Amino acid sequence: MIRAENVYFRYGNGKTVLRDINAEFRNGRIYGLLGMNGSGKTTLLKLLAGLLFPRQGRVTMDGNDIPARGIGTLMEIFLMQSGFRFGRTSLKQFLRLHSGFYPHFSMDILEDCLRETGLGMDIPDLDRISLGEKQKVMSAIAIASGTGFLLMDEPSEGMDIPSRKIFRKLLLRHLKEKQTAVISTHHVEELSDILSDIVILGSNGDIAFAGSVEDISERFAFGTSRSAEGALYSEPCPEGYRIIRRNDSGESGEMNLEMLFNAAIKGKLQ
Amino acid sequence: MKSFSFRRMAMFCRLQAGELYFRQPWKSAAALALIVVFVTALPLLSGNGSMEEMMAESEDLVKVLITGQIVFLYLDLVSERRAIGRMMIPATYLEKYAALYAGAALAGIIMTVFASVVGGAVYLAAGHFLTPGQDGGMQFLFFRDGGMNMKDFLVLFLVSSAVPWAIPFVRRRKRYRPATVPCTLAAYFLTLFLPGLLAFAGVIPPKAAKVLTSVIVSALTAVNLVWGYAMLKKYESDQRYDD
Repeated sequence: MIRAENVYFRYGNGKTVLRDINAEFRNGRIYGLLGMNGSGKTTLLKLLAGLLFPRQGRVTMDGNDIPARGIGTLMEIFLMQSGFRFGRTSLKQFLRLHSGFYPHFSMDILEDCLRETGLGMDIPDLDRISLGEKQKVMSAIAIASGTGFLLMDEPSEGMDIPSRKIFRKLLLRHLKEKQTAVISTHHVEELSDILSDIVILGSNGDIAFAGSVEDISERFAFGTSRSAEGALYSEPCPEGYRIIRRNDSGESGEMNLEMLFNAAIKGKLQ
Repeated sequence: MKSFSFRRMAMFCRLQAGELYFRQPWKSAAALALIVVFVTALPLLSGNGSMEEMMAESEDLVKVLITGQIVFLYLDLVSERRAIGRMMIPATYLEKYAALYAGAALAGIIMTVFASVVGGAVYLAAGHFLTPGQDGGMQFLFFRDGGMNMKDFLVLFLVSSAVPWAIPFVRRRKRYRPATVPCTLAAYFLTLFLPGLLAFAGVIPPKAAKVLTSVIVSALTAVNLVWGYAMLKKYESDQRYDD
């Protein structure tokens, strides 16, 4: 489990990007890390990976400080950054140089992921494929790495719609029971069917909302209504209003992630 | 888990060398040959001094190139845009730090041997035009009389070991008080040149200044190695990108 406790972070002497972050990323879950532009999603992922150090507070994995970047910690974390560069290399050469560092790396999983996304092992120059294809290759490598935690920053960026669906399918197919994925994205709706937990960062660097999908479905009811009366949050729509209200029936309903996100950002779910 | 595994260190070294130098081996070799021809030809073009002096100048230029390799390797180690950031590769700090020097040493040896042969050939050819009638045979750069000495090695170690602390130290200057970085650098260079200054002022004899300089250079190299390692542990990818 990765735990962030009272984490504050700022770049240099600039303004505080993240404040009082308290979050747990438990084993065997898929977390959606959501937030507006500049809310600190990438920064939080880097803190969880140990590429940045908190100015205050602690980030730990199973009790070990992540910023210490111990070998055991690094073997359990795979960070897929956005805007990465492969450089001019073939896929086989890239794998020859990198895969040996990951003790649970699976070539079978990699081949399956590449096959499903319409790619193969014979990619002579990773620098010359499209952005979407680079993301597919990198996602496949991340999934095949077999690390306990996959931290993915905008993994579906540049992918076409069918490929995004395949990515979600592959993640569900190959993530093992104790593996955790933390996926930062702007494409809120796309991930709603695979996420088990949601973390929403507010615009002032705090956590605006966090909870499991089961918990959210039990606490809130999502639907449409002619009136917005009694709703925690509402948005006008052709049928009247899309609303979120407290779930008093105790029955779980379908969650609307986009509504949840908008409500959380506006502080309506406190 | 061991804090130092030679196998992991070698794998990390292979990773850096593979991606930086051997991605397109023939192109790298051609580029190296061009650079070596250029740096050996440069003193010839200036035409100042004897053949021996021009060869010594060429060797100095190659030494600068060799020292530049550790800068290249260090910047790659802390690069932000690699598909898998080097700092996230499962290897300990010590393995990465050792791999940095192993990679630089490897690059240095390859460049020295390459420059020695190519440079020697360039000077052999040039000798036919500049000193006709004198056929002294081919002289390999660095492996001729006076081509390399202990002083060169000491300076090479000092500069190479300074890179891993100087780059992050200067990069992190905003984290310290404004005077910290310039004062530290000034103190560093003052310490280095102190024996020379004392000899110039007549306080100590030149021979004692040489011995003292060697001692200071060795001590500073040791300090650099420890400091560079500490800075690597503190390294943060603190450039902000879009969230």
